[in-house]
Amino acid sequence: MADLRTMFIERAREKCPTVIFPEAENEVIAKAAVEAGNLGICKPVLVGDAAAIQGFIGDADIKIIDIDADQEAIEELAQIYAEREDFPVEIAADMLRNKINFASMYVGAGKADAIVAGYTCATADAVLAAQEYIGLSEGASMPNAYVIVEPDNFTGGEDGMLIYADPVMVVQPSSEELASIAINTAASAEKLLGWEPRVACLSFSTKGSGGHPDAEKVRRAVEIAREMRPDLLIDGELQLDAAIIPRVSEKKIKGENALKGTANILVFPDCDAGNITVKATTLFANGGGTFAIMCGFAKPVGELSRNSDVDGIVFSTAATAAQC
Amino acid sequence: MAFTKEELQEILLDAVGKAIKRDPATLTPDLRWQEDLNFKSVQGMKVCGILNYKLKVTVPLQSLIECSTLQDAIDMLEEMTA
Repeated sequence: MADLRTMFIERAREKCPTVIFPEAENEVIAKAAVEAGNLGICKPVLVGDAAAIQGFIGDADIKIIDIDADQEAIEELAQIYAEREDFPVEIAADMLRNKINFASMYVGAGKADAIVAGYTCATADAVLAAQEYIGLSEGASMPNAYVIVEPDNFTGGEDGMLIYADPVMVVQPSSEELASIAINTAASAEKLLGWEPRVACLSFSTKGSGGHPDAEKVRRAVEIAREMRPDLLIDGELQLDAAIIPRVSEKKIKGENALKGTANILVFPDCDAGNITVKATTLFANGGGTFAIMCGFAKPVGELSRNSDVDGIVFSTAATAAQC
Repeated sequence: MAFTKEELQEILLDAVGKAIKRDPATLTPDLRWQEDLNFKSVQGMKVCGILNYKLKVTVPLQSLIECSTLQDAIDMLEEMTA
């Protein structure tokens, strides 16, 4: 696998953004945040019981916000949220006593640049909180996720790497949602990896070869994405081989052929197809794809796997901070 | 704390109105969350926040969005606060 770890750490170090960790009462999270700080990846802010966190991190000079003891911190963010949403401030304060909500609003209020969460809380809770308090990026209708893979013996894509979207979050996307997945993922890949996105929207059909509503859904998604981002290089519907193998592309596509088999981002028609392909790539082609990156939020949101260790969390933090 | 069905209806409609930015007076219990209100789960955060605060119970978002109509949610709240 390409050395994404080094790449993400270097990119993160360039900005060293402020990243908030709402699950710092967990020892692994607290230690990973300290390590990320020591590596210059970010300036960590830890949320949780101050005594418990200090027990994990010793005398490390890191900002801790103990929201159970710091009513002012909650009230300040509640005020901002209440004004922004025209919402009762006392109810906003009550909602912000939840650490994930608080940390998301901390980012939404501009006090931190990114959040890393999902280790002890359900991913769905972290996603909803981020959507509500941080919001979506311009033009995004919802957030989504993608993975980076590097299958054995594949030299196309971007130096042998491909992005698969969305294998975990949006289960049965509509055409509009597929378009949003394409746009969100392209924007994130540009920022995180420095790629020039070449997006293929995949199907069992290539350019009308299969006359079926599922293929039509993908075709429509490409039209919507082109309307929203006329500058984005995107094509579909395409079969996988026509998307990533130039000679197949040339053979199968007779008319307009925007990608010519050089796609580096593959948008799957649904989560079934995306997830199965990730697993197949991992199992049969040693292709990685073991961590997901979320995109489409107004500010970077890092999602953690529950079985991550300190090193894995540092990596995820670097991937998140690199998008700031 | 027990609430009457009328009180629960008023609290829920007010919460939904705030979440979807619509006058609660235009909402009725027979409305369907998805088909009529195009309700998104993220909007449920605000609804749950208001219900939790006013009813002093923890309303799971998943339970709320699994209700078909607002009336179903009122019935669920009645059970939760009984």
